[in-house]
Amino acid sequence: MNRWTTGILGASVGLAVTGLLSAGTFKPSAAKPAQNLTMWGISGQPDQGMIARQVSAFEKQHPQIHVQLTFYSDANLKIKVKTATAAHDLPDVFYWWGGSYIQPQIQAGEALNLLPYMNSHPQWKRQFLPGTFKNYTDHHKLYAVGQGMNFVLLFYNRALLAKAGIHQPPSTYARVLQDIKTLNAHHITPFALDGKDGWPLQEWYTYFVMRDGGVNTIYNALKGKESWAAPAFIKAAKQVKQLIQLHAFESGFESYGDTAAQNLYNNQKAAMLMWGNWVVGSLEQPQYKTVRKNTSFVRFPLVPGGKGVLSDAQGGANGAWVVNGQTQHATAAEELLQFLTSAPRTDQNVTVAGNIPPNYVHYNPKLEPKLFNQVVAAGKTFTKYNLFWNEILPSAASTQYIQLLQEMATGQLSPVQMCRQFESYMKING
Amino acid sequence: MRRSMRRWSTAFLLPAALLFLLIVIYPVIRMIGYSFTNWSGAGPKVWVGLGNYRYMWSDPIFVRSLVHTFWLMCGALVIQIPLGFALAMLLSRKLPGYRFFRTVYFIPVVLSTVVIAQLWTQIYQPQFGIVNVFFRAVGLGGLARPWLGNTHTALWSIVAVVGWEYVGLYMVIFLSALQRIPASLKEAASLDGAVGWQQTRYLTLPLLLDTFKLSTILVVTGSVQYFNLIWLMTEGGPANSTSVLASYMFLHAFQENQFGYASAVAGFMLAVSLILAVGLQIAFRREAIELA
Repeated sequence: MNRWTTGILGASVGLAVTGLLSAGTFKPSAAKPAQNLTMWGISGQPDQGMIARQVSAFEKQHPQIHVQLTFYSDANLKIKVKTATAAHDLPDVFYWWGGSYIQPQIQAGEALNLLPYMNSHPQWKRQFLPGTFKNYTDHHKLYAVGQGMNFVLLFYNRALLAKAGIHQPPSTYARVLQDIKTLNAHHITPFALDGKDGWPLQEWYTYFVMRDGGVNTIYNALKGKESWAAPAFIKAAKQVKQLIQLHAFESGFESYGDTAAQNLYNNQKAAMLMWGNWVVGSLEQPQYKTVRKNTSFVRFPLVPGGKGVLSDAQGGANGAWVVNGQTQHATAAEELLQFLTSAPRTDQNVTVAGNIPPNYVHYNPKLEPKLFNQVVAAGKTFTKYNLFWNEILPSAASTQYIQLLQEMATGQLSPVQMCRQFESYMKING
Repeated sequence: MRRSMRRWSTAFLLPAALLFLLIVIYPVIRMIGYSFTNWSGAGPKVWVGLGNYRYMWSDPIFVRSLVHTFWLMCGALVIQIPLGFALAMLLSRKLPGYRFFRTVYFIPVVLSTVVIAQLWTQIYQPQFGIVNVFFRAVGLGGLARPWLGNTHTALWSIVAVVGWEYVGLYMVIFLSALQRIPASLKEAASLDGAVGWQQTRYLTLPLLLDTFKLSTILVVTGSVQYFNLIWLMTEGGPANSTSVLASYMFLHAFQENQFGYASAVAGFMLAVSLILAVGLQIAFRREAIELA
């Protein structure tokens, strides 16, 4: 598989939530000896509660299968799975990511090819949107099924912007720059940013690259058709630097983790947040009622002279469920996956967790939060995706890029030096 | 009789020795083996000889991590041992409330590192953290800064926390050593005119030399391996400004899937720890003093 070409998905998110496929009825399996499955999921509400309830429902339907479900935070899960992969001690089912992220598990034979089972259950296969398997496919084998689709948007708090006299959304780059100055003058943090983990700043950089050079720029560099120090990369790095110099982010953003940064926005201390659509689910929690009411979003703005278009988005089919290739209970694990990623569970993924699953789902938009429906509507407008870095680059290269970006952000490297150093790194390691 | 005793001793020591071999020595040997390979943690291991060890020195982040580890060690030595000793001396005088203070000083040692990391991250928080709030309140707002977000202050901010975390431990170690000094020796010293600082300088300090040795070895080897608080507070950032050997190793193993290379870093850390521990043993070598 050419893993980076998989990133440009033709999938339309719109289909994910407006399709009207009749859901396949799920038949409980015949009586079998008792089986214990282990499963690792990702923590955080409302998804965690939803998954736990769905797994309980599965156990009720399959009395012979017991699932021992454990949740870990995003960062801890990544470490646990990597360690367990090396120790050949993965659970039967685990939450993971596609593209380059799943390659070690595939190479170690610790990700099960789900295609034979799926082909024998066409009613399950039909529930997935076209193109959403690509990120988990290698050599025509399917190693995961998606749980969600994500894209990054620029969320803003209308009330906070209005407090600074800003009544239009930041829909152009020039406006963004102007708004930063205005908000700072009113002592309001313009953007909340998780600078500790590195990848959120990388998302800013990625969007600038996409807007400056077009959606193919990064994929062309991955294929060696373009330099990592091409003008679009350098310009994007300069734009990130410009934002930092304008104090676009909270003071000391380098020390803010994801929760701390999101809390700044959720508690109305920062006016804007560039984040994935997963933010919608968290905003639905009762304590964030006010900020939810004030939140709108725009697609990442275009930049002057850039080749990118608004219909290009950063994201794609993202988190997924994997069955351990060494499991003793392959069929039970596949049945569990089928259960979790079939209607009505996929509908609950929308109605309970506010996610956008990679499936055809049924839901009544009138019963859903306004913000969710708006996000779905925006998703319909996206035609091409640039996957997240950790899915398009090998782990070491992705980490290297984050570190160089952080060094640029803290003034240790200039934008040009950053790009050239990554170019050199990729020449040796790419 | 003696031979029989030796046999019994060996028999009793054997289970523990086997366990030690199994859970310490065997993994270390495996780790050293991995360090000569390129291994992603999954799939085949490719033999690279000393390649990983050579690459280490060409990676500026490794060199920076080594330097940061050295500074962390110096900071810990400067804070933990003198302060631990000073607190122990104060508490040994059994001033009013000494039991309360002994408990208070020891609390950080028993606190979970996660709690400590959360606590100090809030204390250093740029907007409402108590450090910056204090500076602003006393008119020194110019000193307020994002302590953990600034590449110049992040490492020292963490060194201060590490010092604070373990001062209580060394206080207890010194306190217990001080309590072992016979009162008769102090009385004799007093009769000879050695009081106050003189008694500390010529009696207490020499008698506590073994305790200083133990504390120094613990601080030094602990610093080389120090990881958890740094990872929880900054993950080695910003821009590797708080990266130490252990966080560098962790990053390569668990984020970059370079288990072979990370094993080489672990091997290097093991060698450094051993050299320092043995070196300190030699440096502090002297005749034992019998107190009883």
